[in-house]
Amino acid sequence: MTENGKKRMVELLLTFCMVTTGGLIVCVVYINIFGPHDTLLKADILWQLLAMALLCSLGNFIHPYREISRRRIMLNRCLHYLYINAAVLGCGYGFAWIDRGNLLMPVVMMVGILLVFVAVASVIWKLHAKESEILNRKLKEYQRIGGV
Amino acid sequence: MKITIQDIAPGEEEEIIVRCRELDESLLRMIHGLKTGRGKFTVTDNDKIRQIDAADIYYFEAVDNKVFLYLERDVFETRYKLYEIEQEYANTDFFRASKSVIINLSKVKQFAPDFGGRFEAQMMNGEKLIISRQYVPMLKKRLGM
Repeated sequence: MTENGKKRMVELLLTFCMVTTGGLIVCVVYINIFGPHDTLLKADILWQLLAMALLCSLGNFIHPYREISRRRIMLNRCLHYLYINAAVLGCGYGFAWIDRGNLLMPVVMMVGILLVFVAVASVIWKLHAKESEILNRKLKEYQRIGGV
Repeated sequence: MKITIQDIAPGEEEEIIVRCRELDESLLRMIHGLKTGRGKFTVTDNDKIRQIDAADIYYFEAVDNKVFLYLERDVFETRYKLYEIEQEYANTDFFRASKSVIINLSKVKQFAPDFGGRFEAQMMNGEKLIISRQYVPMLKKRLGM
């Protein structure tokens, strides 16, 4: 497997784990809002959550490794967001998590997606900013000792 | 100061080890000189040939199959290809930052985060260049992260 292929697989696995966790949390909140208190769940829901997480993770392929412009990055991010909405709502209707005719359910789901998307983007940006701080510290050390 | 020169086996990488109590200014200048004083670049300047000190170069950029080198304020075209510069100046301050740019790390003021896992290198002359996502791991390695 190529270096980029390995990176893709690691990213896919990480995203899958994050989406599974996020999906589980949203599922708990969603059931608490729309389900009766004595709701019994079938074991199928676990497979359905995993299937949704896998489908969402595949959205990573929207972002290529080759160099692209800032505008293209923003466009890809928007496409990624739309893809996740389509994937989650598709799963919602496909697995009957959403009652047809109930408009509140998809809206709540979309709000959930937005919150998770913004939260993940913020965490990634903060980590990236932290990384640039470390890079700057290392750069100063590098320049102080005159390079390599 | 004692200077020792050792023979090495063919194929072995040449190496300079500095053994000192502390890195004072003169040693730092010497190390910097060893690293950047490797050569001069020949450029064309209004049909005249000029020699540019490698240490004065901020970055190289390839545009439409031409390679330009950027100083603090001036820009010159050079006949070298980016891959030739990358090979010739490997293990120096020059670092491949993207498909079309090689930057001089000693002329970088700071790095700032950018979208899509990229970084922005703010140069000491105020210019901003992109460190592309695929070159970020190499940058981290180069800076000892």
